[in-house]
Amino acid sequence: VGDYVILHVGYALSRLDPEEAERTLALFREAGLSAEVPQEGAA
Amino acid sequence: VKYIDEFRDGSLARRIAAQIAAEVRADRRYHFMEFCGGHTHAISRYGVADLLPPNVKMIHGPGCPVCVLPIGRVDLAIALALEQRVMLCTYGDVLRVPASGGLSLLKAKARGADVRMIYSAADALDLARRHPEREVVFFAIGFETTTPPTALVIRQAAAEGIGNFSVVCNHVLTPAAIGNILESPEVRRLGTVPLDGFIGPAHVSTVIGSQPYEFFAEEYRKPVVIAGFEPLDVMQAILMLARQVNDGRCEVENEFTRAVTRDGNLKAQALVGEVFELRRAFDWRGLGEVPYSALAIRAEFGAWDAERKFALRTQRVADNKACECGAILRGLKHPRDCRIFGTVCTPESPVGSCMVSSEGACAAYYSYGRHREVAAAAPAAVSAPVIPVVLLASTVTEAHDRAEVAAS
Repeated sequence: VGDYVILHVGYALSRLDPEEAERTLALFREAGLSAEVPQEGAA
Repeated sequence: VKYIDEFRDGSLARRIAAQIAAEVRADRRYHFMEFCGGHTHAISRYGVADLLPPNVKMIHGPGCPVCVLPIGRVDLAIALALEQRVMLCTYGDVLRVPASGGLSLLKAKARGADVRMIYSAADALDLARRHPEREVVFFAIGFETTTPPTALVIRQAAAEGIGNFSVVCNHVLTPAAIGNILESPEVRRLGTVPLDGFIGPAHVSTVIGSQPYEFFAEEYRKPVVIAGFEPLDVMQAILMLARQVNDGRCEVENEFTRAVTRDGNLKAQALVGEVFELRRAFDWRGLGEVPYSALAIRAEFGAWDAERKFALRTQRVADNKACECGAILRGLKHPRDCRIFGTVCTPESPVGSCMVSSEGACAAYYSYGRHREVAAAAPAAVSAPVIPVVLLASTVTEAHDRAEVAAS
């Protein structure tokens, strides 16, 4: 039916909220925006 | 896979790691327990610990259903299969849990017992339908995630009048175990690891919601952040916990908002309440007797309760003396502190339950951790603060969702 769900032992426990998923990903990206963070390749 | 790959991005992980490193204070300690075995597995598999500053430590909690299953309960299952000759169905991980007399369900199967591995509770009920001449017993284990499916099949068996099906209920409760880690006679006697916060379970919380953790945040002054099972979820949760510690806050925060609400899955909770009731106490491996920490089948469904049907009585059995699973499950010891780790006790032939499931602290450390530690010890003289390169994205090939098989 077009929804993503959390499956556990064959049963759907909850439906995934795409908006909240995007919000969380945006939160991850925020960490990369602050000044003191070294750019990729620093390691 | 959508909603999985994005949460495993290696470059983002390094950025979050750098943010954690920038925000933690050198003079502070950040010891966080990930309660759930799913997180233990993710932390080991993706090398999350390597991305953390030295004063940020992850302590593995007891949220691995196979690991906390006491020997006496496995003995019960083996006796049902070998002596009562029932068809015994259970989840795969349970088969290898070492029991008394050097036995396991797998070894019992080799001796002729009819032991079936199933992926879902519905499979057990199906077997009962297909074999009306046999007694089919489902040995049900797990936390709040696997409980609703068990409730569902019991209710279904009752509705259809399937008389040859019954369940040994070993379902246990997350909040009771967290409470026990924070305060119990053992904690007062043995002491406990100082904990500065918890990462709250992912799937368990989809069912029970974030509300049950509020008590721990308020009463015990411990920050809690509920996190998803992907590595970025865990990193973000660690950052959120560190911020709470820095600010002196003790709140329940939810990083896994894409699947967890404050109330959880109310339908599942109602179903569980209809079929199960609290046990006054239940024996946990590692934790001992924990009051009101497990569920039993209500009298109304007594005909489907294998403990009543076969008049079963659980004997308490001491763990192997050399095994440190008890202390490891409490976070008091690390797998490498155990004398038999990796020598006598391996995933192929586990002595302790923490070595059985991939969610167990010992198995996770055996599979992913120890190799890295040996490698990391060698080039010790590398210049100043280098962020270890862990190729998070490269591990995505194992695309199957472990949550489908693991019962957390």
